[in-house]
Amino acid sequence: MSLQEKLQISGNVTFVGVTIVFLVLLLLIVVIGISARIIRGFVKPPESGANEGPDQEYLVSEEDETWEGNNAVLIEQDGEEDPAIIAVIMAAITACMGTASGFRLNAIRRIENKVPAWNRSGRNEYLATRL
Amino acid sequence: MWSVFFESIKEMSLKSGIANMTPLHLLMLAIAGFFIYLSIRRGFEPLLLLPIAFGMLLANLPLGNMMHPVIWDHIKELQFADLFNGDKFGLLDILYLGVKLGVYPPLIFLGIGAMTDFGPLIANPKSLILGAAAQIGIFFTFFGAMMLGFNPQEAGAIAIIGGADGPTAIFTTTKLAPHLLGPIALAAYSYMALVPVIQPPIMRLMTTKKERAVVMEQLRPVSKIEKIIFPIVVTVIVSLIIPDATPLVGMLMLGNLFRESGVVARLSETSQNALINIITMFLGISVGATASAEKLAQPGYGIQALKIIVLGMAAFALCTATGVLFGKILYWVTGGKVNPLIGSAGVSAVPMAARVSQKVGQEENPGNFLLMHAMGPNVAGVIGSAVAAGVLISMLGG
Repeated sequence: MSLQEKLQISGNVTFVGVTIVFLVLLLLIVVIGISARIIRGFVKPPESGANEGPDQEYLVSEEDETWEGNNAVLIEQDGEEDPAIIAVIMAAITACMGTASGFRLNAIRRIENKVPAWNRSGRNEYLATRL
Repeated sequence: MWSVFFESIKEMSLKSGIANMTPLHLLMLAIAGFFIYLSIRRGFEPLLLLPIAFGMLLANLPLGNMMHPVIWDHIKELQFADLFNGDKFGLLDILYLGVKLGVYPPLIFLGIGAMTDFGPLIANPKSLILGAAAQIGIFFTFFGAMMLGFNPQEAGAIAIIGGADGPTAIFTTTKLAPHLLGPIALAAYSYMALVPVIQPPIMRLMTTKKERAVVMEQLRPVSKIEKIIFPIVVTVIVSLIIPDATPLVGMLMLGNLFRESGVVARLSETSQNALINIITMFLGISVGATASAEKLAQPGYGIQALKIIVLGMAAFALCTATGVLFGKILYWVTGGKVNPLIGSAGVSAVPMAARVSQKVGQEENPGNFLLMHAMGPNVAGVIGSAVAAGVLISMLGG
């Protein structure tokens, strides 16, 4: 095969190949875009943060007026809280404070979490590499 | 009596593998051992490299009669009775039928489809541009392979290595240049394993600090119905335009439909676990067995294999570069909203290429999480490389 023939075949395959690949994928972009618009016209999109759990007070402790002198959390149980989680949070706070006295934990509230799930996952993965 | 005994021992030793071992067999066994080392000790794509390497080892044990790749290169019509002729065909020859007939790669794609979430791509369809851009390198490599003396079919099979998709590379090679299957498959899977080594320098070279630090906007949520419609639409469109891509794209999208429909959990589970694992074993071991000493003894085969390794690297680098280049174009067009690093994920290699984008992005900004943004081009690359393979088969196939 001469150099000219090689160049001709290579040029032809490259030009046609790149063109078709781009055309097909551009067509897919258009079709996906159109179908997404149509679908969104019929289906109500999920509300932002709908799957993030209720923005509610997770745990409320009531200050016992008769109680003083230690940091035990007073819990108003509504049947949902896991005492183990409360214990872990308390332990973490104690570890951060460096002391188990001089403060009182009144409530643990879940704050609204707007960080996307994949972002949290990525962050956890990143943290895991630093452990 | 002793003379008969020694005669028998002598006769048996002459029929042993040791007596029939040639330097080429030893070389191939050493290469097989090296790949086993890479897969186990270095963790280079062990799921495929380990069976490939062991298949290579089995095929290069003299007189083992496990595989006859030279026969497969020249076979035109297979007589069914031949399959039961133990002297002519071995166990790996039988397993190789799945490669030869193009059965295994589409079945692997079925499993990949069942494992893939196309949500990021549906949420940001522009990712498909990056999936297409990363395929440009394939065609540039085709040009290089032609200049290095390969015929058009061989050049097409070598160029597809740049797509960084093992099953696609194997599928294309069996259609265009089956005699080069061993080195092409090995190059494809080796370079896929080297994605974290090959890509970052190219990505850093082609982007500025400012570009690498771009934080992209949150993707929109994708509804279930969009995810169900997507595989059907892609199958119909791609298959109608490029019928040769149907086996790969069709199976990929069937697996994805299993996953997203939610009504065939057992089929989805089987596709992404048991089935893909079984096929991976058969594919790996039979592809590895095509790299035999007999083939290496063929004039010019060794040089061809070396050229393929070099061209494969070039293909991979070019595909990465064109992906990043189009990422930069999107960066400029969108006024800095797209991080060009996600362009490199347009080569398939799911999800490793996306992880590389994430890692390089975090070097500039540890709080930047590009993973899901890069998954869009990454899964688009799977579709793009299948389309490119279909184009090459269509243009160059017999």
